[in-house]
Amino acid sequence: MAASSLTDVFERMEADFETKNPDIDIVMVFGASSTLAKQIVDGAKADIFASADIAQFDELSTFVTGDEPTIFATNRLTILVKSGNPKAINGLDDLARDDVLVATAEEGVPIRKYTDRLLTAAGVTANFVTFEANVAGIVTKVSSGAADAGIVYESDVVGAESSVQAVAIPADVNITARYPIAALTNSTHLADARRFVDYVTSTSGRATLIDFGFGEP
Amino acid sequence: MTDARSHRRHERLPRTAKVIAAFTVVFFCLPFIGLLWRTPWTRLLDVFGDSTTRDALWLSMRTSITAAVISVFLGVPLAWTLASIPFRGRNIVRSLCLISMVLPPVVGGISLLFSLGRSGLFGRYLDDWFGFRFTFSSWGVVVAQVFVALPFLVLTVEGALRQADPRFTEAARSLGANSWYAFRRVTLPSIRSALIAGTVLAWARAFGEFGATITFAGNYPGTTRTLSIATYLSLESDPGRAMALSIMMIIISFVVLVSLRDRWLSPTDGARS
Repeated sequence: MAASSLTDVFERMEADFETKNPDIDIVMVFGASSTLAKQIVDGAKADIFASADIAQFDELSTFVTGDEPTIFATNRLTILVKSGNPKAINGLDDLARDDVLVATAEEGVPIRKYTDRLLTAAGVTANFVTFEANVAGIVTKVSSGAADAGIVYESDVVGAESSVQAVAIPADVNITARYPIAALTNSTHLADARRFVDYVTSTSGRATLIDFGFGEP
Repeated sequence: MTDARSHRRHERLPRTAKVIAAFTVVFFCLPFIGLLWRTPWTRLLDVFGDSTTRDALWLSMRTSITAAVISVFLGVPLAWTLASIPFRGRNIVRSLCLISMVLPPVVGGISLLFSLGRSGLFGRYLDDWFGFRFTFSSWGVVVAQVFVALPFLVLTVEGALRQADPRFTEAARSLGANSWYAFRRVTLPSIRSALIAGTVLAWARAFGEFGATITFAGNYPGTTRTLSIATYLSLESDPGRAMALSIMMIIISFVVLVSLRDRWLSPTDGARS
């Protein structure tokens, strides 16, 4: 199970990994990290968990045993706008404008936590109009033009269609999200699960992550 | 229906059918028992009473009742047309109008977003000309609810109209009533229970609507966060709250369905003239 922001890159990695290991068939489930953590606590069968935030592993640790999580990727935040940037959004300050409709995620979803932390530090009260269930919801609202802007991960812009573009957030205020991954030790395929985790954290895994807009751990 | 007749019908029912029926009832009850078992009862009143819940409940009530009323206004003439005029392509039109029952609601929401959304094919003109937007507004919630709820009304009413005895309507027509008058005074009363059932079904579907609503209208407290959206999203941050809200939705839906059935939808009602 993996954070929805990992969807594109993990699907590629799955294909690469299965070509090299034809005896292993990986089944991926993507969703908001917080939702997935709940499902695992409630007994969903998962061999590996990759989250957008270490907080979910803390949540799991009292219920599920797992290997020590490894940070395998980082992701920075960016402002997603419609391509051509018709509303001239140049920075976080513009998110407070009345004519700029901003989409974010519901409380509890990691992207919302990062967004709040970022905006609080910048002293900006954004003009939020909707609280989506996950990052994909934010991207849909911006790409369809329903909202003008949303704060998402840099990797979301690489995966998104050409109808959107990114407006960079200056490095000194930006926040780095760290992605931990671990095999869960009550997995019925623990050895295979550890092989995939090793692959994700290997140099070739890292190269794929960088292709998809993620940063080095 | 007399007691003797109902008794005879009771005896004629094969055992297998009864066993399967009982199993089905258990199947419907199990999830609720599971929910009740996990519900944090001590928090129930707190959650029911807090202002976030009240906002969501009030919004859900307003939008779902509006959606049900709109569904009746749009759906009855459609059902009437489908039931009485055998035009070419009628089956295609009918399927088109019912397709939102089969679609995953999220697909309906995306389609609405790209057509009636703020930058949608048609929605952009609403914004440009009138400054009106469905997205992130309560009217967007209503549109999403009508989109998914309307087929339930059309299906129920059309079925009843097809089975209604046309002689009464014809008699009214022959006595000089115009077709609207005959429809309102003779045909509609004769399908009253189906009309109410269809309206209640449409309301219930609208009340529980989630996927199309959040996709098309978004989620904001007071304007677009309905009780069903609040319930789903609380699962992330506060499962106990989600369970309390689920109980609330179950109670409301159950009370409405039971009371309406008892009052208007007795099994013999349709047969009476």
